[in-house]
Amino acid sequence: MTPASELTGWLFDLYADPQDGVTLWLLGDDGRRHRLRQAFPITFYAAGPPARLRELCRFLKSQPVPVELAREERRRDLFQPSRQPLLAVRVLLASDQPRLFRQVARRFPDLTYYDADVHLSLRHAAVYGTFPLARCRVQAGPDGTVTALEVLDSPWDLDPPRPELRILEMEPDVDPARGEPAALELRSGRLRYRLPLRPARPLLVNLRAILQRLDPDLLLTNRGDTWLLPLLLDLSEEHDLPLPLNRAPGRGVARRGERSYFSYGRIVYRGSQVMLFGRWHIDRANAMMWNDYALEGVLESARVTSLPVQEAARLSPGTGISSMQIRQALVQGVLVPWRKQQSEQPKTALQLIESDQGGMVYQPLIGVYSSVGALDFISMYPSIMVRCNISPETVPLRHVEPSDADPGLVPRTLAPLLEKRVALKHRLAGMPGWDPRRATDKARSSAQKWLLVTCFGYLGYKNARFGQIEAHEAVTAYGREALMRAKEAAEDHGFTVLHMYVDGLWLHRPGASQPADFEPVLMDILERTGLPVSLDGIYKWVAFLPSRVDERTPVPNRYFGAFQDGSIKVRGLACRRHDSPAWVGSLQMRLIEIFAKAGSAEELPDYLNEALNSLHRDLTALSEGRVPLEELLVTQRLSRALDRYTSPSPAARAALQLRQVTGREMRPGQKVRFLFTRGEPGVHAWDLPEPPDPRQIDRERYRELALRAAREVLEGLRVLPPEPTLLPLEKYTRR
Amino acid sequence: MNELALPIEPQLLVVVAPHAARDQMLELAATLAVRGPLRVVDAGNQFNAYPVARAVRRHTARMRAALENIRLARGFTCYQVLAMLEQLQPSSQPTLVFDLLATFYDEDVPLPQSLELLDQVLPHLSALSKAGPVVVSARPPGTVVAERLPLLQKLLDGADAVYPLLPPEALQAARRLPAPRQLGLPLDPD
Repeated sequence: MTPASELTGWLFDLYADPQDGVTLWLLGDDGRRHRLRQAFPITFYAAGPPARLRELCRFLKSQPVPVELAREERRRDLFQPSRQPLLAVRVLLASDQPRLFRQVARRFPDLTYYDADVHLSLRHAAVYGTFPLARCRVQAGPDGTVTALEVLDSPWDLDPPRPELRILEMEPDVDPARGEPAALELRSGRLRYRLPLRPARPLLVNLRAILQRLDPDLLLTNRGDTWLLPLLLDLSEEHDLPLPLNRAPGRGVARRGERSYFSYGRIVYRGSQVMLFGRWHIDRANAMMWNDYALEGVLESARVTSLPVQEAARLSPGTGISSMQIRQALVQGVLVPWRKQQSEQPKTALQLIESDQGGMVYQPLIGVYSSVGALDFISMYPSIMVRCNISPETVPLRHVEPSDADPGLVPRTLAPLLEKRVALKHRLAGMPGWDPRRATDKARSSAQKWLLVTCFGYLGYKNARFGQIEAHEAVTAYGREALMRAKEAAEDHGFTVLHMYVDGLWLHRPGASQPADFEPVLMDILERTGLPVSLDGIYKWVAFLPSRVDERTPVPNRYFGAFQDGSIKVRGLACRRHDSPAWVGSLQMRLIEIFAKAGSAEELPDYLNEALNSLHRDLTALSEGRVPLEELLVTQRLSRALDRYTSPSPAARAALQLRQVTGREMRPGQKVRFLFTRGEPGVHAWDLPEPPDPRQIDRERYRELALRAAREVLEGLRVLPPEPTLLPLEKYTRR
Repeated sequence: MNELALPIEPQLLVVVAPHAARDQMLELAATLAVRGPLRVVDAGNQFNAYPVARAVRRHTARMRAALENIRLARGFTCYQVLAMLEQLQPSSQPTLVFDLLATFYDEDVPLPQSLELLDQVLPHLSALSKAGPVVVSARPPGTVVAERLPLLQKLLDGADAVYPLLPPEALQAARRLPAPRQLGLPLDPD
C-alpha cells in the first residue's frame, strides 16, 4: 500500500477481493506497482410476478451476505416492448455476488434475471470508463483506498501512451509434447537463465529469487497453461516452497480446466488455463490469436473490449465483441439478459428463402486476366450495421437502407471501433515500410479486424446477449443489395465484373491500369450504396481457377494473382490450406513468385521454364532426402474421440500411435502432427519419442501432393499444353 | 427405412436417427405442406427451405402456396426452444420439431439444467399432441457430450411412438440403460 494521496499511471489489473471490494493495480509514473482497493457494489436485477419477487426479497434478507434491495423501473430490456418493474439487488461486496446469484437462480428458476453474470471489469468500465492500461489519476487514502478515480485517455485514441512492461519469458528447453524437458529457460531483456528442472528445490528457490528480483508484469510462457505453471505449482506444493507467481500476496492462481466444444460446425479443443493476480500470464501456445497479432494485438483487444489482458489473450474475438456490447448496454442503462429467451418471429418457408440467403457470390469467369482492379467494401458488414442502424431494438425493415435515426445498441458499440480501424488503415496506407510504428499498427489493426469480422456473426449467434436472427439477415440483405448496386455502377463505367464475393469485386477493363482509372467507379459505388469502398490493388495478372472435379465449373474465392506492387494474393490453393505440408506450400509459393515477375498475362509463358526448373529442384531434393522432416509435417484436427472412428483418418491413426506408445490421450478438436510413411499404419506421429526413420517416409505421396500443387498453378495460368493428366507435368518437370 | 410415414393421428411421434433424420424430416415437411398448413419448430438449425421447395415441386406446381403453408421459427438455445413451445397453441395442424435435443446437448448448459428444461418441454409437446400430430426428430448425443444420453432417454419415455431410423438394438439400449459407453449406442458422428 502506498501513502501517496494522488497517483497517476496505467491501470494494470482489476479483480474482486473478499475483503476489499475490488483490488486495482496501478503501474505508477513513479515506476512502482501500486495495489489499491476500492468499494464497488454490484447490482443485478430480477423480474417476474410480484409475489415471487417478494419471496425473493425475503430469501435475500435471510442470507448472511449484505445486500440492498430496491424497486427499479428505469432500465429497459431491448427485447421487451415496454419497461417492467424490477427488483434491484445491490450486493455490497463484489466477491459475494456470483455465489449469491447462483443460489438465487437455483431457488427461483422461474424469474428472469439481468446483469447477473457480467464480468467485473465490464461493470467497472461502465461506471468509471476504465480499460486495461488506461491512463488514470487516482486519489487514494493512506491505506490505499481509492476515493476518486479519473480516466485520462480513451480506448479509441490512435496512439495511446504505453508503460514499459517488465516481461519475463519462460519456456521448457524441449517441447513437453515431444520429449522430457530437462531445464527451464528464462529471458528478460538481456538477462538469460537456465534452471534445471531436477532437483526441484533449487529450481523453486532460484525461480522465486528471480521473480522477486525482477517483479515482472508479464510472464510470457510457452505451454505455461497446460504444462509449465501446473508443474511449478505442483512442485511448490510438494516441497512446501511458496512461489510468488502472483504479485498479489496470499492469493492462489485462477485455474480453468481443458475442454472440447463445438464452434461453427467443428470441434475445438481449449487447453487448461492458469491466470494470475496483479501479474499477467500469457501462454503463447494457448493464446487465441497470438500467431496473428501477438502482444500488441492482445493489448489492443483488451483496451477496446475492456476485458482483462489475460482474458483477452485467451478468449475469441466473438467474446470480445459481446463484451463491448455488454459494456455499452450498462452505460446506456439497457438490461443485459442472463439468458436470452426471445426467439425468432415465425415466418413462412417462402419468407425464409427470401430473407436467409447469406452473402452474394457471383461466380468468377474462369481464366487469366490483366488490368483487373480488386475493390473491397471496407468492413462491409459492420459498416452496414452502423450505417443502416441495425440492432435488435431497431426492428430491421424488409428493405434496409442507410438511416440517420438515433443509433441502436449495436451500431453505437461498433461505430468508434470502425472509425478507429479506418483511421489506422489510412495511416498504415501512407506509412513507409521502414516506419517503426508499422508493426505495432498492423497488429492493432488486425485485432480490430477480428472483432469487426465476428460482430456480424454475433448477431445470429446462439449465446449472443444482443443477437437477433432478423437483424443478422438484414445485414446480409443489404450486403447483397450493395453488391448489386456496385455491379451496376461498374458496368455503367464500362467494366466487366469478373467475380463478386460477399464484399469484394474484381473489375476488368482493357487499359485500366492506374488507380485513377478506378476513381470514378469508386465514387459512384459510394454514392449508390452509402458504404465506403476502396481499391485493394490493381493486378498485373490474376487467374480464376475452375473446380478440380470439372474444369468448366467456376469456384468462388479460388484465385491467385500478382499486384502491380509485386505483392501476391492467393485464395483456395494448397499453400493456404492448414493441412498442407510446409514444403508443399513453399514449393507452390515459389512457382507463383516466379510468375509474379511477369508484367501481364501475356508474359506468363516466358517464365514457364524457370518455374519448371524450380519444381524440378524441389522434387529432386525430396527424392534425395534433403527436405527436412519438419517441412513434411501434416497437421490435422481430430474430429471425434478416437474410439468413435470406424475408419480412422491419418490424424486418428497418428493419435492412436501416440496413445499406444506414450499413453497420451488426445481429445476431439486437438491437432495432431504426423508424417506420411510407407506401409502400415501409413503415418508416424511427430510427437512420438522415437524419431521417424527417414527411409520410411512415403516420398511418392509427397511427390503427388507437390505435383498437385504445381498443377494448380501451371494449369491455372494456362501455361502448359492442354493435357490435364499428371503425366505431361511429370514430363515437363524432368530435364 | 428412408421415409417417414405421414402422421395423421394426434400423437407424439419421436424419430431418432443420426443427423436427427434431417432429410426425411424435410421431405415430410414438403409432403405435409402440399396438403395444408403445418408448423415447424427448428431447434437444430436444420430447416433448409431449398430442398423442401424442390420436394414440393415434385408434388405440385403451386410451390409458393405450399411454402406459405409452412410456418417456422428457429430456436438457438434450449431456453428459446422452451419459450417457443410454450407459445405454441394446441392445433389440429401437424407440428414438426426438428432436432429437438440439439440445444439441450449444448455443453454450456449444465446437464441437470438441460434435464430440468426438457422436463418442462415434454408436457407442452404432450399437450400439443392431444390436438394434432407432433413429430419430433432427435439424434443421439455426439462424442463431446456423450454423457447427455439421459436427455434422449427422457424424450423417448415421453413419446407415444418411436420411429426407429437407428438400429433397433441401439434404440432399445437408449430406452433402458444409463450410460452411453456401456450401451454401445452409436453416438452421432460429429
